[in-house]
Amino acid sequence: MIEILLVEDEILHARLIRKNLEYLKLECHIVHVTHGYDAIKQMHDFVAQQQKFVVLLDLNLPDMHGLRILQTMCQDDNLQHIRVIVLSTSDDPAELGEIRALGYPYFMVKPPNYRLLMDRIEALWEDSV
Amino acid sequence: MWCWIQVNFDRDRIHLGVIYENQFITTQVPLDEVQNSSITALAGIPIMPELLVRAQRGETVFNSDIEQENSEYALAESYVPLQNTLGDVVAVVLLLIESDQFAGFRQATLGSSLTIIFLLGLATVLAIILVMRQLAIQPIQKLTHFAEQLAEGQPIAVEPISESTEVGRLATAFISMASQIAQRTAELEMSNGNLARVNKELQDFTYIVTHDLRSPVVSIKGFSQTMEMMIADLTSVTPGTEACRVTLNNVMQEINETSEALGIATEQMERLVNAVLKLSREGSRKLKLEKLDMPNIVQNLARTRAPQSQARHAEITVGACPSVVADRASVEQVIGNLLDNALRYNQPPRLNQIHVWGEETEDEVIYHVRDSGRGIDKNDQERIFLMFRRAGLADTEGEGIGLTYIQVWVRRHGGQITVESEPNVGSTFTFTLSKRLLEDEAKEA
Repeated sequence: MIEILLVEDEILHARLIRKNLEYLKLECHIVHVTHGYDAIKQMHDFVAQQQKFVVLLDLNLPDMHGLRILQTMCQDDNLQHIRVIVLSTSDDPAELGEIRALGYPYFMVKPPNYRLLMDRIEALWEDSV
Repeated sequence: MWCWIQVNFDRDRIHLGVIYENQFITTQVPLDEVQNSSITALAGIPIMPELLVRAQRGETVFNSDIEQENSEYALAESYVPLQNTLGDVVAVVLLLIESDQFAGFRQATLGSSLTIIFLLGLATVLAIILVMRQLAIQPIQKLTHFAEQLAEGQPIAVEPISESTEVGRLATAFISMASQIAQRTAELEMSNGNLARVNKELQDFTYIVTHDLRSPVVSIKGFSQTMEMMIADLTSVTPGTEACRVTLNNVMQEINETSEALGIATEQMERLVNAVLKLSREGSRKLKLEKLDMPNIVQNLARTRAPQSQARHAEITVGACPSVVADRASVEQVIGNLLDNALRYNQPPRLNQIHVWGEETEDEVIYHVRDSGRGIDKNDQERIFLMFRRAGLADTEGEGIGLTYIQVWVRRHGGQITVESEPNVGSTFTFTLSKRLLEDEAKEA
């Protein structure tokens, strides 16, 4: 069972992801948080439990920007290895560049093609440690 | 300006000495050259300090005073004041003549008091050269110095230059031009700063609009796709079969859920668009400036919030409230909104002490709203002024647009709004209102 940490403040967007992954019959368990602080806390919890997981990260969060979460992850030895798929409503090239520069190459504009999203989740899950 | 000229006679030459601007300038002129009326080679040597002090006091300085100890000759002296065109004494020519030598000198070489007159004339010419230097060359040097300062972008140290000459007037005009340039530069720098700020805000605004306004569009698009999937499911089953009945049931359930989601997304879209429209309208609404009875206004705002204060374990107190010329509706909105925020973001069971007070400077009126609520994290203190952005716990209702509006209103009053805050201690919001609004408005008109 693939463990997914979904960081998304828009309830409808979260619902769409859950519904589509269900529809595509991806065997997964989704932990959903709406705030950046909660996301980082949950990541630490997973790492402490040695639970492998993939992050779906929205950039536009109410308490902190997604980029700041990625920066925090980069600088934290415990969170560096985590695989992330960034989901954003805009395809701003500057933002995309910043995310790539931090070492996170997986980026999808919302709403994503859910089949591609599923393929990527599966690939990253296989890749995760 | 004082200038001292001293003329000494020697056997075959004349010593001309001039005290001018801390320098004792001397020259020796052979007598035959004096007759040819030319002066060569001025050399600067350091001035004797006591001589300068006395000269500046306006005393006549005698050679006998200076060289008393090794004076080999008795002196005859004579001094003549030199005046500039304004009648100021700018120089004194002091003629020191050793009596024996003078007698010999007269007999041997010139034999005429005309020589003395000539020497006086010579000294006068020298003095005039120096006066000219003061009046003309120095201002030009100062002017050059100013120009260099200006070119290097340094502030210009304004030294008084006499206005009585052409060069002096030119220098004055130059200084006034330079100060105008400095003022314009400062204004440009300020408007550049403002431009950069507006630019940054525009970027933030664009970011917010693209992200937040696209968000409901994403939902609408996503749920429309869900509908398509349902239609695909329905068309793939054979009518009348059990599979068809199950699918139909699923689809009916999905349709309810999807139509509800579409409704939420559409409402969200509408709310956001309205907020953007309202903000743009507020930005262009004409301000009605009038002198406001601030103590009354603030007291009223506090009084109307008494029920909420009581319900939320808060206490609103009002301090000094200096009056101001401003748009009443804007000021009420700003203070009212800050009070509402202070009441909203409390931290029970602590009593939330809210205090409103104002102060005044020459240029602006400054108001503060302080609370002892939950405070704002340092990282969020800039974000809170951005549209649709909220900080901290998402346990209270709101669009995240209140502070954005406040900022628009305050800025339209030529002011600024800032916040100082410490989490778990409280926040103080401070806004300023320009006192020059009426002047600026008149200027614009």
